Amino acid sequence: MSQTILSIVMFILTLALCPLLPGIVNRVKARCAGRTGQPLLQKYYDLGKLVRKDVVYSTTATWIFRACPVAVLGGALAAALTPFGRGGALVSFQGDFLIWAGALTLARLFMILAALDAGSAFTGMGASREAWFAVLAEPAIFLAMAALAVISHQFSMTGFFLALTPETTSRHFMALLFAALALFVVSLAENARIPVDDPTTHLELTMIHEAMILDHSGPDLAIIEYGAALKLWVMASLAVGAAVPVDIGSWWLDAGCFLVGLFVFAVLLGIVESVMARLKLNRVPQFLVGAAVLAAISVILVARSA
Amino acid sequence: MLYWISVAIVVYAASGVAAWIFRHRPGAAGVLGALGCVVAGGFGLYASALTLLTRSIENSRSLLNAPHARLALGIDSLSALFLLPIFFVGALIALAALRRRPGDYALNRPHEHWLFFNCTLAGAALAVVSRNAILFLFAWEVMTVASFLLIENDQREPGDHGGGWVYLTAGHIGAAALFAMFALLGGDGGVLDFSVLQSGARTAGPGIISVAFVLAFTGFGGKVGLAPFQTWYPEGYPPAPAHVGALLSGVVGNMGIYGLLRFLMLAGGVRTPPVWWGYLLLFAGLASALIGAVRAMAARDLTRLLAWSSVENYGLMGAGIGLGLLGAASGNGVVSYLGFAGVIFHMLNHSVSKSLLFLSAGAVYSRTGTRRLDTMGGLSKRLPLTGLLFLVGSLGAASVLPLNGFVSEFLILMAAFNGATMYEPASVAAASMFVAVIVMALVGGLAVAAYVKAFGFVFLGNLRGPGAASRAKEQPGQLLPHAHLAVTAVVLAVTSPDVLDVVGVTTRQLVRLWRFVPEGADDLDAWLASRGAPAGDSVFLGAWLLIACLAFAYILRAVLMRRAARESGPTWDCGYIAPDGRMQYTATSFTRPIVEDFDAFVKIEDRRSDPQGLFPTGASFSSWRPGIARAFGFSHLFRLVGYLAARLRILQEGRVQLYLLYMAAVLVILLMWKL
Repeated sequence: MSQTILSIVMFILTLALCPLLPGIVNRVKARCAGRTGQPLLQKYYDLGKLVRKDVVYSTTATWIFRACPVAVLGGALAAALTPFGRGGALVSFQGDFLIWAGALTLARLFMILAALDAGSAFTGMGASREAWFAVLAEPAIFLAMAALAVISHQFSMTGFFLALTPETTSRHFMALLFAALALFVVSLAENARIPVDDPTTHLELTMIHEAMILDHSGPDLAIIEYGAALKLWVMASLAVGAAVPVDIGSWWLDAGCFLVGLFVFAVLLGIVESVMARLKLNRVPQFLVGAAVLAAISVILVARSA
Repeated sequence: MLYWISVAIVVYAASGVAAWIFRHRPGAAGVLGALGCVVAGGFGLYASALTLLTRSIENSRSLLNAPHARLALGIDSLSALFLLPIFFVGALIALAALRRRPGDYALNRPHEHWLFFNCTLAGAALAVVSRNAILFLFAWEVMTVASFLLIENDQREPGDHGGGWVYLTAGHIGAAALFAMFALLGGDGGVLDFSVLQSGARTAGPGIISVAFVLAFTGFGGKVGLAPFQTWYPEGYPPAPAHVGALLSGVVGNMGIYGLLRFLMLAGGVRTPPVWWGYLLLFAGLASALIGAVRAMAARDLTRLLAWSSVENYGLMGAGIGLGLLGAASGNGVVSYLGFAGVIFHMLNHSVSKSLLFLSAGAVYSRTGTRRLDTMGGLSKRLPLTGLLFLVGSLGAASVLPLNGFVSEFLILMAAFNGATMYEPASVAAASMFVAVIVMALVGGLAVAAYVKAFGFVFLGNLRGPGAASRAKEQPGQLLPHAHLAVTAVVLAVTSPDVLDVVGVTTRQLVRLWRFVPEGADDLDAWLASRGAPAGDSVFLGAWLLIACLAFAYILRAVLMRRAARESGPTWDCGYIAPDGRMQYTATSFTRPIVEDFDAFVKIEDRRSDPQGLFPTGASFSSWRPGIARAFGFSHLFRLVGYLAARLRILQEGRVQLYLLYMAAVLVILLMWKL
């Protein structure tokens, strides 16, 4: 089979499986707390339920509010089009990692604008925090990318990960580990997970992502939820790609390892969420700067060993 | 081509004077002034577009000669690129300023306004095509003084004058540096033509050239507010009407970038530029980008936000030139190419987006009478088209993906990424590239936050304060110039590979100044591609991918929503039944946590009295954000300049006899010195 078809298969798998990740996280959390927990496919059920519901729009909201789901899903899809790992990207070109970041920025921008559009104090608060953490998360992502670019001497996502041959990996093992760690920490913040955000509380004041989408309903909410799951998958696959550069030779085995890596990522998320509490808000910047420092260490390690 | 450019400059000046002659008929003055801008813009656009497309270079024979000065004009791709915003954006700004209905927002003394407005444009255009130092300085002065008078002409509040005077003083400190720079380059040669300067630079010692570079950095970098001069200009904007802000930010500011690039063409090509030139521009640019982004994000006044965002964008351009120079200094063509291409492209994008933003802010101001973000909100329901235009401008100026600003910022970022991988690891150069990546990532996030704030708190949600209610509905006809700018922004994004081709001509000239492209690599593009430089197509492809994904998401949503019934109701407010516009987050509270993290650049001062006792009667809270650099940076310098200027007034007695004595004395001294 040609590479393109395999990439399309991978893309379809991404679209189909991404709501599974939150399910795994929730299941792990439940197990850690001694509960049985939701079914693994709960997210699919939720999405199906939401799609069949009607919509309520606030009288305050304008077209921006309705455009938000489109931007969130469109941005996440574009980010998912340049995927990684051994599967190879459906689309790959010079500088596609910046396009990747730009697509996610557009999604976030509309999310924040829609939150302001609803005009409630809660959504405004969520929006403020989202913008705040995004500012601090950006340098960590870009530094981790820079580390990958220096290791691979490539400027595309596919290039980054295809360059991770066994020799490169063994030489840059620590650097890759730190880059993956930085990306893991950032994806905690970007995907509204503990210790930055707590998606499960029922108090709007303590939430960020959930507070922003308080006013969305029905299919709009379903699209946003799906977009969030897709974004989690996309960010996870970046971290997994750096941490698990498996190269067995067979595409199917590589893809299988990649998927297993993603599920392990979700399990790790669940464990983190079980053993940690949400950080005090003014601690979060330190947490994110910590991620940037991890990425910087990765860069320094690359420079040392090159 | 030069013929038409000269005609355009004459038309600017003539229409300005004509507007002034009709000072007793404000309507006619306005029409004359704006008409002049449009006609001149037409001539000029024709000529500069033709120059760009035919890639021609033209220099005039001199018409007038004076000691050291000649009326030497010339046009090449670099000039033509910087003429585009002057003619195009200038004409649209003029139209937007003209199309005001009675009762909206009347200009003070329209005849003077149009005289100064057109003279600013004439000065800018003349500066770009002049090929003689004296002529250039003359044009530069015309531009600076006319734009100062333009700011001062429309003062509404007594406290406003400070900004204009800071603008003038800063402009002249910069101009003084330029005088010194040209004098240094010219040596003792006679005519100060650019061609003479160029050959002078070839023979001058490296020390002289470097001093000239520092002077050019002060003069031209100061014009665009590169650190440490970032406080010079933003204060000049808020008191001026919004379209003047558009002119300053979208047209006049570009001249600083033009000056830097022209200086490099004049004096830089002699030998490999010293590495520290690159570092100076890179770090000054990054610093002002960061400070500008933080201040824009913290700003509570819409015009000030836009002005600081200009500092940020010009900082990015400065950093881009720095990257270009660093690439040149180390023989790294890819970094050099990407840096310079990004700068020129970003200049075009910024001109279009920022003037669109200023003009839209003006449309908001003329409807609400306030610029305070904390009192606005929900205006997109009354002014939907203004909101849409402002959003297009915001996405462009914040460099968000499918729009124009992203393309150029992408190029500059790629220059840094390329440098990071290509330089010797663990070298200063590579480390600087990483710093550039970090700062640009931070700046990108801050810019998004700033524009989310600008758009979100003006146009979305509910009205926050009583003062900002829109007095009238928008008239779409009045927004036609704005719409043209918005369409241009989209076109710049959609045709980015073609724009890059056009920009590439000048970029190649700049890259080839330092002859490190290996022999035999005549096709620079192929050579660059072999070195892994991204072509313009890549970001183009990415933008279209995103647009395709958005279209898919749109269709999917439409399909899913087909069956869903739509209701409307109040916003969920946690069960509280009487929400009020003042309960929303404000622009100040939105950015407060971010500002607290960046308190190195902006201080927050709170004044609060808490409720006391069991039955509190009153409590208050107020908060403001003074900038830091202005407080201890330049106020002393500016005060010193003011003091010295006041002292010098004793020379200006007002008696003709005394002036004749001065002349005689100078003559005698010169004769004694030369004979």
